[in-house]
Amino acid sequence: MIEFKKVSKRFGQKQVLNELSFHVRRGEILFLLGRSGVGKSVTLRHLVGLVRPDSGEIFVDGREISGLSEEEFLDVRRKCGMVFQFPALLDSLNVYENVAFGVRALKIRPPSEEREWVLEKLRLVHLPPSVAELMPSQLSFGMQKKVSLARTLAIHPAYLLFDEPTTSLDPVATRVIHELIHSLSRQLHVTSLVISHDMDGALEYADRILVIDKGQIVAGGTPAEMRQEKHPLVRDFLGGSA
Amino acid sequence: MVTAIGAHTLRILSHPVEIAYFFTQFLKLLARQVGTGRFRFRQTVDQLYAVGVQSAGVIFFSIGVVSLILVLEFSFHMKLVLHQDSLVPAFSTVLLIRELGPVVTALLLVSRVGAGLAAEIATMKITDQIDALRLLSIEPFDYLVVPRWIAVWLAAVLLTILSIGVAILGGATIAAIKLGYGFGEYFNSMFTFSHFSDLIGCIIKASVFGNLLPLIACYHGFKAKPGSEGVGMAATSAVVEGSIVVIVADFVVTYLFYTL
Repeated sequence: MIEFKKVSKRFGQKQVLNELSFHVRRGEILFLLGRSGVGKSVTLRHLVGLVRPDSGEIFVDGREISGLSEEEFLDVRRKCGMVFQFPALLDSLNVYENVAFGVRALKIRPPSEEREWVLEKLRLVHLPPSVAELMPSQLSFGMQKKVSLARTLAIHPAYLLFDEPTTSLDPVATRVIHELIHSLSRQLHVTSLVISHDMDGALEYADRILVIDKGQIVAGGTPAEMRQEKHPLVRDFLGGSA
Repeated sequence: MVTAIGAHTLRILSHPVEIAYFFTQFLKLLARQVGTGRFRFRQTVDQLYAVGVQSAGVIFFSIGVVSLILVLEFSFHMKLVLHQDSLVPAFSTVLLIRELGPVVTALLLVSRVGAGLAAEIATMKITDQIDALRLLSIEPFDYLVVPRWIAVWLAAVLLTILSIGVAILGGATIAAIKLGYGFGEYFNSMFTFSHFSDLIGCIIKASVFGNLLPLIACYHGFKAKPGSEGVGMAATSAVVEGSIVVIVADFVVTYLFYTL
């Protein structure tokens, strides 16, 4: 389980997170929705140590992680695989090497099993083996996102963290990515925390939805509960005007 | 107004401190890497190709043209003062080895490689590639900076030595065509004022430039602000500061090596 307890973070004059508290249950798909600049991505980055809180506590499987050193964070990063808003593929490496990168660095599989492992991850995200030898620049943005997801899956994480996975994608590609998140979470029994603006996608694919504003959770519940939610921001999201 | 001036002054003063901190971090990591015997051979070779081989043409062409101008100018000035130009090969060679070879090579490397490195790392930063490396337990300094630093260092030294060779050939050719020198005559008299210590000084200069350039470029890449403007600023700052550093370092090395 992931748990945030009264986590605050300020960048200069801007209070981004303001005693933020919430938890993610093991195995669930949680969508964290909010307008741009309200601290959604910062929340996610706290979980992998790319940002450290000013105050508060963050627990991953019962371990408090906010005070861990860079080296101590290695375990947490191996447990929490993050898919960035941009695909963040290494331009100088082909698809295979990008996916194999973490496998080698973290010694996830012995070299003899590496190829099979990498191709299996590509298959999981619906990419054919022929893609493996292509460079990232030869792929569409949607395909790059899938490779990015395959790279994250390759390190065998217990938690999948998605930072706006459907940004810049067309409606068809958006649906494909949402379905992938849903099917992989169920198939691999991983917990997924998805940062998004997309209420429609959240209502269709989430187990639970939280809405964040001004660094705090302002509403939350199951998709059915969120449809009845009266909070103005949620109503804005439901109306598609946020 | 006072606040703005104060903030600007603080920014200017903090800049060298930040660069010094970046250098310290780099040295710490390098020491650790040397201690563990880990070495990213493939990345270093790739970078050496990108930096050394792909820069060679531009550098050789430019220094070749510089050598033509140098020989013609020396001839003109010597004829003006001494009414003969028999010392052109000797003067142009010593100037090439001591000064123009390492400095012109370094300045061309700054504009070609420094800008490229800064822009590349800045782009990696703003597209989360550097964070992705950290999440895969790869230290970005280790993966990005060390191979580039080694490659630029080696390339700077090798390209400087080769570019001096090209420049001497260029000088001899223009001297043969325009000043009536035979190649044998030119090569026989070109080392009149040059000593082996000049070559050592040249290699030291190239080595110092080759050490500083990639670190300044990488520093600006890592410090880049978001957006395409941030990438452009990183590349510009790398070129401007890299050029200034080359000129200042040239003076310092010249002073220490030739006057003390």
